[in-house]
Amino acid sequence: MDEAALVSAAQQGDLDAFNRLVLAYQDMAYNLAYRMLSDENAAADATQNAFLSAYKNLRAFRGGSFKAWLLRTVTNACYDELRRRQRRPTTPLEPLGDGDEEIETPTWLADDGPSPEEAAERGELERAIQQCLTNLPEEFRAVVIMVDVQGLDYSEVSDAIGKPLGTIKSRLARGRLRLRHCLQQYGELLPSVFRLEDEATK
Amino acid sequence: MNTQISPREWEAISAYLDGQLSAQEKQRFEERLKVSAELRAGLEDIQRTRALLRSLPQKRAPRNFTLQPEAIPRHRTAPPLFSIMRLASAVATFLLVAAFAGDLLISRAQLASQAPSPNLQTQATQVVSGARASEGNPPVITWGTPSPYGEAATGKGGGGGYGGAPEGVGGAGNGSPYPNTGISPAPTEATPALAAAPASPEPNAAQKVQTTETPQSLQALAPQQSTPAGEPAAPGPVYNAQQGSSGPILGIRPPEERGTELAQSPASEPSLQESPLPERETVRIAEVVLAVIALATALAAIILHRRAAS
Repeated sequence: MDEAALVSAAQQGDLDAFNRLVLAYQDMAYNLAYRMLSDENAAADATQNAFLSAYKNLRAFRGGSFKAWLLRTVTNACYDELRRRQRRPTTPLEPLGDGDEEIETPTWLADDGPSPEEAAERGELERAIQQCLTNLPEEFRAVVIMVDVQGLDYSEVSDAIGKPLGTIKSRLARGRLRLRHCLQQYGELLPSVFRLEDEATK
Repeated sequence: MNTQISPREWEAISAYLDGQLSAQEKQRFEERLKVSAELRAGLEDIQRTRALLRSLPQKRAPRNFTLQPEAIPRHRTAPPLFSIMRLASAVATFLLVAAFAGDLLISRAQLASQAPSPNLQTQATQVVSGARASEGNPPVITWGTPSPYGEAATGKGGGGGYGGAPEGVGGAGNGSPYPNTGISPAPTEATPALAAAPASPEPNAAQKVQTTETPQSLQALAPQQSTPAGEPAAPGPVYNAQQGSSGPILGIRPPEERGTELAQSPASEPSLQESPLPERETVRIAEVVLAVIALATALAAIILHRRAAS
């Protein structure tokens, strides 16, 4: 059964058909949620909520890319989680300013995530990149994750975000530029591959 | 390092890397890339950043996120009643709009049909008041009998009497002994006039007869009647053509024609004014009932919907 038939069956209330869609997309959904939230448990909760919300609102799906529609649901679930965190006074959330200043702030160091030094010491390029992603404003973060981490094309991201292509291009460029600034702070601490690349460009 | 690169150029760099520039944009960008070392450096930076992001591993779901039937909210228990309420609200609203529109149309139609009556009544009042004699006796004005002698009637809005009054505007009674007044003030003069015209004592007789005249002739007649009588222009009590049951104004129609119109008048007037009232009341009640139903069912639908969503 192809995707369109599964979606149609699920819209008629066929839970098994919907669950087959869940199995097909759950890695993608969880990956997006994890990169957005930088927390496995929160990502799992957001993913579950997103699928539940998708099932409840499946009748609102009017065709097009089901993947993009589902990604939109996941993104909204992540935004909900981020807003919930914002309401919690004990949990710091980075301001939307320039990344290189925020990394050194006490709130940033007080977070559960590792400091740049810790990330470098453990040689975790991934963690460093993830920290820089977390520093991005939400709307930039979602676009960068979808295009650069998940490999979606612009039109899919446009559908998923619900913004025109021009907005996607702009957010992506600005997001990448901020990430570039952020990663430069890690330059000397990052694994050798990155340092060599970095030095080669100088 | 990047201070010379504008935000638009950063956007172009990003789009260029993803192959999102048009052929023309791409050519222009590459030409600029050749001459700008900063742009090349910026392109390499973004390219490397993108490569780092792409190097991130794809996280696999830690568990299956398939939904279990018991985990799904029981929002399907309410929908049948919700649908009924929603439909009922919509139907009631539609009927309410239809009833209101019908009510409005009926009201407009009634206004349109009643509108000419006050005008004619006013004209009739003016005519009678202008011709009223100061003695208090109801004057009888007769006109419309074609004068065989011609000049008294031409263009004066009424026929002259047989008395051959050369200025007999406004009409005079048949064989009037007051040829210059044009008005017969004496009650005795009314007798032949009434006899000549089988006037009915019913209200609106004068008005109905006068509706057969053109308004212009009636208006032209009014001031001319007072002038030969030598009286002021009727400052006295206004004679209401509808209320006065004893002072008919006799028209120009032949007697048989007058009789038919007079016979019609009492029957037609009240029916216009009174018959729609009960119907309109019914419509109003129906409108109120429909509004209540629409609101109540809409409220019920909202409550059901919220319960289902929660």
